[in-house]
Amino acid sequence: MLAGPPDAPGPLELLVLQPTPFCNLDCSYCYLPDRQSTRRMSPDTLEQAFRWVFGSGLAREPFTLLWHAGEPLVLPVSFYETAADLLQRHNVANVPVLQSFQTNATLLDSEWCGFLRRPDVHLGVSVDGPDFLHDRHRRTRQGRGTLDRVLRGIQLLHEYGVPFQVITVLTDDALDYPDELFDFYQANGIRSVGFNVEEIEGPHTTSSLQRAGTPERFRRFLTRLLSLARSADPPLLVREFETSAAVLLGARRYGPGVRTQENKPWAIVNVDCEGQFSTYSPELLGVASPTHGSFTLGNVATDPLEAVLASARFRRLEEEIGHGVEMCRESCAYYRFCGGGPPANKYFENKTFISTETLFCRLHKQVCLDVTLAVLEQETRTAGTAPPPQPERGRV
Amino acid sequence: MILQPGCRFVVAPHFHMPADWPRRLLLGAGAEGARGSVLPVPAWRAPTAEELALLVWNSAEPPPPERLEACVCLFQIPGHLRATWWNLLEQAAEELGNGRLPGFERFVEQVAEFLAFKGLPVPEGAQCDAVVRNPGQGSVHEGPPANWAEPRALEPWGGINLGDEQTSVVLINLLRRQLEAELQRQFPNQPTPEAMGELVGQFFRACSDYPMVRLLLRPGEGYRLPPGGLVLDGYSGDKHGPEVLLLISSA
Repeated sequence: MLAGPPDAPGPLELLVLQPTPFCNLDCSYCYLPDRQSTRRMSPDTLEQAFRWVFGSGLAREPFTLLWHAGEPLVLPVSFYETAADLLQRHNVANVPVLQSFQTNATLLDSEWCGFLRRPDVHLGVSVDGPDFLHDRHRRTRQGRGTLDRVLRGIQLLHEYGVPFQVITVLTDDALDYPDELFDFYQANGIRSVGFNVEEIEGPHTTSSLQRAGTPERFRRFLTRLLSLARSADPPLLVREFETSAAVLLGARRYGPGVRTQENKPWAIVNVDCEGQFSTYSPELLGVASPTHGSFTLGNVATDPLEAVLASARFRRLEEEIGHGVEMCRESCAYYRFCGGGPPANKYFENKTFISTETLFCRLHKQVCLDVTLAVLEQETRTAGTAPPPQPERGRV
Repeated sequence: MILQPGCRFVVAPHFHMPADWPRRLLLGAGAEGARGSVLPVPAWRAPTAEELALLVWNSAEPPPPERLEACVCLFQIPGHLRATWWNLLEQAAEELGNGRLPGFERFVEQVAEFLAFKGLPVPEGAQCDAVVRNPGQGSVHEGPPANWAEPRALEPWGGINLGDEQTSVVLINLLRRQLEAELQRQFPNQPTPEAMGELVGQFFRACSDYPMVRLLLRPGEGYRLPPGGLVLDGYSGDKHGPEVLLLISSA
């Protein structure tokens, strides 16, 4: 660990590199405005990004390097091998870095599986469940479903022994199918899943989850899914339960001066393929606002952190986002366990950072915390009790 | 007698499964009596387009709740519940001889929890029986005389194919009031029987050529009947292996 001055920005927890905005799919809920562009990050830009990060003093503690947005596997393995060499060259203090890929798995092949088996690499696969859920939203530009290709990729990961987690985007229609999703995970050897709710972000200006009654439906969905997941052998790990349980059981609490990764300046650094960078929520990178202009704060080739910290644009952003976090702290009963809503959700839903609750808060924070608490209480009550005698005829 | 408009078949809301009605529904050539029971004549055919239109809810939109209640709802239990069932049988193999199945009650609760989540709640206090039959047996109902000729204390709510082979149930697509109306039409001067068993018996005597409907159920699939039930029985005439049905009845 490298010590920084007490008021030093950061430390960096997550470095998001966008090697290309291009994605070979065209999912209906995607928030990326530029996903048809085939621009790529050059080796020079890549090196400048690492030089900037390690030169900024932000990289003082272990952090995750996430390759994300668009589809990172569009670039060849050799790009990431070069990146690994450059990372090692610039990481002179040997700060532990976990590389993470979030992929749609349609481009996986044996070469990729060989690369992804490295111990310092983590893999996330995006898949939304059985075909009637997945193929409704995760399609090619020609409108074809992609589940078959995703499952071929998952099969390859199993064959090569590459561990992975799954992210499933929940839309309104998925909330009726927790059992079918659980069956799908079981059938495909998926042991760990995170649920992203369909958010209002960027060009995706509406969500099927905005309908009245969604929080209650989501509560029922999650309760049912967790009941199945936790009684499975081995249990299916559900990210929302694990993270909510961690805060409920006191592993982490929020208060004055303690912010989340997304609303703490420089805990996240996002860099696009041209070297433009931002902080806070990754979804803000590349987005412009009528009042703020671009949320891009500089370029890794030209703008050192000190200059950005002193800029009016950053100071205004930090003031507004900080104000919004304070409003959350003062008004929301969940704040201690949440730490304040993500700035991107506030901006895209409420049109201002100086605001509080969003759809994301109601579903992904409040419902997840409520359901996790109920599950923990239930499991505590029933721990150690023996099952009742089992007659052959059932009454319900 | 030709098929009359009656209750319709529909895939229950919140279930995703292939309905494939033209292959799933078959029509018989009537029914015949046998030792107090009424058995379908085993000459099954696919329904015509007109008959299918009478049998199936045709709109792309699901029926409104009051219409849905009067439908035969097709549903499917998830793979993990089917796996639970087979694990239960495997673990209990040594104890099955005494007619008891340890864990059955918990399994039934799990099925009920699933159906409740899906908006098809099993009535409170419902009785669930796992009925295992060899191929070729006529009826899933207990006690002589088997089948519909006797009134039943329990009202059938529905059933689930727990076996690993396709099976069927056969039914008359008419509600009780429709059976009564048909008998009234044919025998205007006779009183309508009050006992269900007698009513059904009289209907079959009067309308022995009424086409019975055969509903095919793939493994894990089930049906829920309209309130008041329908005249229905199992049909394992062309099965190869044993049939396993979970029959759910309201007390």
